[in-house]
Order: sequence, then C-alpha cells, then structure tokens
Amino acid sequence: MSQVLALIDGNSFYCSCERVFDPRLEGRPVIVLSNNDGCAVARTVEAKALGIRMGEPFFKIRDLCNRERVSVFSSNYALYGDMSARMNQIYRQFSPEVETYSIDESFLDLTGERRRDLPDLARDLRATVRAWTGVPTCVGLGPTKTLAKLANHIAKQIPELGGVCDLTDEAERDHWLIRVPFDEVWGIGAASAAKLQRLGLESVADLRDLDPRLARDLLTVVGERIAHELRGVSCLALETLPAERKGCAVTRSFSVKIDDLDRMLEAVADYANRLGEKLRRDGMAATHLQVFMHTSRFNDDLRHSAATTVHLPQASSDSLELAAAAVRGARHLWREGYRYAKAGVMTADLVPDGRSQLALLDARDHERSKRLMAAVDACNRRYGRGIVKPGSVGVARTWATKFERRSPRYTTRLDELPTVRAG
Amino acid sequence: MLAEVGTVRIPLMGAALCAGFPSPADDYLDGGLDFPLWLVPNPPATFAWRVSGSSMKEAGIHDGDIAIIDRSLRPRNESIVVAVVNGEPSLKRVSRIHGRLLLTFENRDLPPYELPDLADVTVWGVMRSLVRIVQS
Repeated sequence: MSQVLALIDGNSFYCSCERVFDPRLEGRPVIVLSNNDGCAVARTVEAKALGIRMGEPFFKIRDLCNRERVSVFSSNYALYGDMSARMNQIYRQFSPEVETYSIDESFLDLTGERRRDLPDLARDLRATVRAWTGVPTCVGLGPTKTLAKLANHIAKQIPELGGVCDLTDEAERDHWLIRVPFDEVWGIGAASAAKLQRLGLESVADLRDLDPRLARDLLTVVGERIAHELRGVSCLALETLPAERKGCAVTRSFSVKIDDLDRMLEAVADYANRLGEKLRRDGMAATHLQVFMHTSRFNDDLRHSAATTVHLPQASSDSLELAAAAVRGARHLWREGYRYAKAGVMTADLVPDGRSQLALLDARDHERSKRLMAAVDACNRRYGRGIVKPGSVGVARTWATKFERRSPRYTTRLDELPTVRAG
Repeated sequence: MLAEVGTVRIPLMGAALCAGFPSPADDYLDGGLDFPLWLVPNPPATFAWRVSGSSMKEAGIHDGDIAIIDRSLRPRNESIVVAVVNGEPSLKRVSRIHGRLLLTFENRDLPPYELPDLADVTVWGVMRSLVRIVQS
C-alpha cells in the first residue's frame, strides 16, 4: 500500500505570527525583514500586491512602505520559533510521524489514516491549527514528499481549493501536473530548469514522463529521484529524527563594521559562548575551533579575509574554554586598519561529550566545568537567553545583529506579554 | 532539576530540531513560560495576556493580572473572552440576555458596554484561569 504524506506550512508564516497578537494588521500589508533589517523575507498577500518581492533590500522599498503604510517588522525569532513549536505539537496529535522540515514546514505521515477521507482530515488539521494558534496554513497531500510539496504549492496558488490539494489520486494528479510549470518542482533550481527548457519541457507532467535515465544524465541522481517521486515512487524518506550533528557554526554579519580589536574579541567570544550552548544542548563537544573574519565584499573597503584553527587541549563544550580559544584565534587573525563585516566560530568532527579521554589530573576540573555550565544553562533557560554569559562577551555590544523593528516576544517573556484592554 | 514533574513548558523546543533547514530561530529561542499542566491542559493553544484596566474587577480580574487564554475552548454563556473589537483586543464577559449574546463589563462604576455600530467582532480566545503576582 502506498504511503500518504502531507506537507503543511504557514501562509506568510512570520507575518501571520505578527498578526495573531496585533489583530489590527489583519487585511493590511505586512512584511518581515531578515537579520540586521536587511531584506524582506516574509510578505502578506497585500504586500505582494504592492510589488514587494521576496528578498528585496529594505532600503529600496523604504519609501514605498512609508507611502503605502506597510507594517515592517524585524525578525522576532523567539516568537516564530515558539509558534512553530506549538504547530508541531498539534501535528503530532494527527500523526505519530512528523518531520519538522523548516521553521514553517512539516511533513506528516498520514498512511495510517487512509480509511478517512484525506482532504477532510487535511481540512480538520488546518482548522485546528488556525483555531488553536491563529496561523493560517495550506496542506498538500501526495504519495511522495515531492508530490506533497507540489500539492502544497498548488493549494497556495489556487484559493478556490480552500487551502488543501490532494495529489494522492492518480486522476487528480494528471489533472494538475499538466497545468503547473516544471520549475515549481522541489529541487529544480535555475541551472536544472535551463537544461530542461532546452529539451522543450513545460509542465510537471513533462518532467514526470522524462525517462529516469535521461533525467539522471541531465540532472544527476537528484533528477532521477525527482522523476521517480513525481511518478509516485517514494525515494525520500521522512526524517523524524534530526541527523546527529557533525559540525556546528555560529557566524554573523555585524550591524556596524568592526574596526577595533576589543569589539572583535567580544563578538567572537559571544559566538563561541553560543556555540557552547548548542553543543551542550546536543550532548556534543568540540576538539578544535575554526575562527574566521572578513571585510565586506560589497563596498570599497580594503579587503582582508582570514581563518585559523585553534586546537583545544581536550574536547570541550565549556563556553569559557571555547570563548578563550576563540579570542586567541581572533587575536592571531586581527589586522589593524580594516573594517570587518563578518566573523564566525565553527567546528567540525564533534565528539559525544564526556566520552573523550581525560587526563586524570583534569578530571576534577572537568566535573566543575560541567556543573558550572549546567547552572549557566539553567539560568538562561529560566530567566531568558543571555542573562548569564562570559565577561569576555562585553556589555555594550554595538556590533550585535540589529532588530530595530522587532515586536514584543509575546509568548516567551513575562514582561513582554500582549496586552488586553479591560476598560 | 528544571523539569519538575507535572510542569509543561510552552513552548516545547521542537523548532530547534529541523531535519531540513536549520531553523533561523535557533539562536534566538527563549525558554518559554512554565505553567503547571493543571493550569494549562492544552499548551499549544494556550497564551498569556497582560490585563490593562479595571472594567472586569467584579469578576476578580484586576489591572496587571495575567489572563491565561485557551484558544481551544469554545465560548459559552458567561465565558470571559479576549474579544477583538475593530482590531482591538479587550476582555469581556459573554452574556446571553433575552436570547441575544452580548459582551459586557464587570464593573458597576462603568456604564454598560455598548458595541460600536457595525463593529467587527471576533473571539480571540476563552479565559481559562488567572495569575496574579502579589509580591515580587
């Protein structure tokens, strides 16, 4: 029996989250900007209708937004992450197998629900998410991930479908696949699209009917897989468990260029601190750190780009040790007279924490470090991220990523709750 | 140590575990608010709102209180709800009077609440419980 997969995602997800807590935004143009308030990364239909494109730099549309009274927000990741977690909790009540594919997209395995009318189940899922969280969604149904994703795209494009498109049925599939251009298929990028165009392909049906061997010659094994998936033969399994991390990175563009060493050392110490938090959350430890920094590629600043690797005496997830190592690396890389735009701290070849060989002498220190970090993590969980951090991270943080138009963290901070009027 | 028995954290940290794209929110997630399960039986549908004003004081709801709103509850007669009236969220009692559903204040010092003409009204969620910090 073939499987049934659903892809559900939030409509203009970031914007929809903003609307839940500020109902005045309903029916009005809203956009959300990327880090450092750079580009539009989420747009409501009203904002799209004004001609605001995905990824458009904010400085280019600032006047338009003022004129048309577009509501502009910085990314409020605490809010979007929380709303995403809520939605996934609801999905798990509908299916035991859920793959959280991205912050606003999840695959659900509904194979066990075949006896129910599937579109009806999908409508029930949408209605529950809408009622409980306030976020509107679309659902695509199909026998493979690629078809479920395509169905979701169709549901978004055709409002008459009421947010649900079912491609599990072969006749239904034939109807839609000849009507959708092939470049809407998941995994077909611009380069692949150009090759297929030269072959004279137009619709998804054309791509489906391509000989899988030809698809392989043209688009490698990825193309072959897509052709199979479009025929209803599943090649991509649901990934319900996150892959074990092999590496980890914390990198950021600065809000203002950094031209003095102290600021740079604060920044890399901060990234190393965050890296430590991530490693501890996953129960991993790093054996070395790679530190890099570079100037902007997009202006006339003098160019400098450098990276170095700092080996740790033993595998560690201790933020203090990692920050000290990152600072050593950054001091080594620093060149006076440049204006740095970005820096980062990365690691590869992670090892499970606590299983590394410890020199006997270090065992007691290691135990102390473990307890200290557990206490730091507990404080930050309870009182909010960043309450406790290494002193090397600095206090003023003029370089920190800018979120000047961020809405309150309505759902995760007691002092930022939404306000309801009584009077 | 932190995960006391019977305590739920809203949200659960699911977003940190994306199989496809690493979540851009990953570096900015907060721990969320902890509420006991008996107070919040349906965490994904439950939100906390800060009350501003005294129009509900005879229902025991005061300025600065935290209203726990459950969006999975259906409003009934006498429910207290977050009603969105022309885009503004306000706390009101739902009352059935002479067969009509009305939104009312709970404060004798105030004139009865009157809905503006042609008002656009939706129920955002139903209040399940109340939290008040008495001394911090």
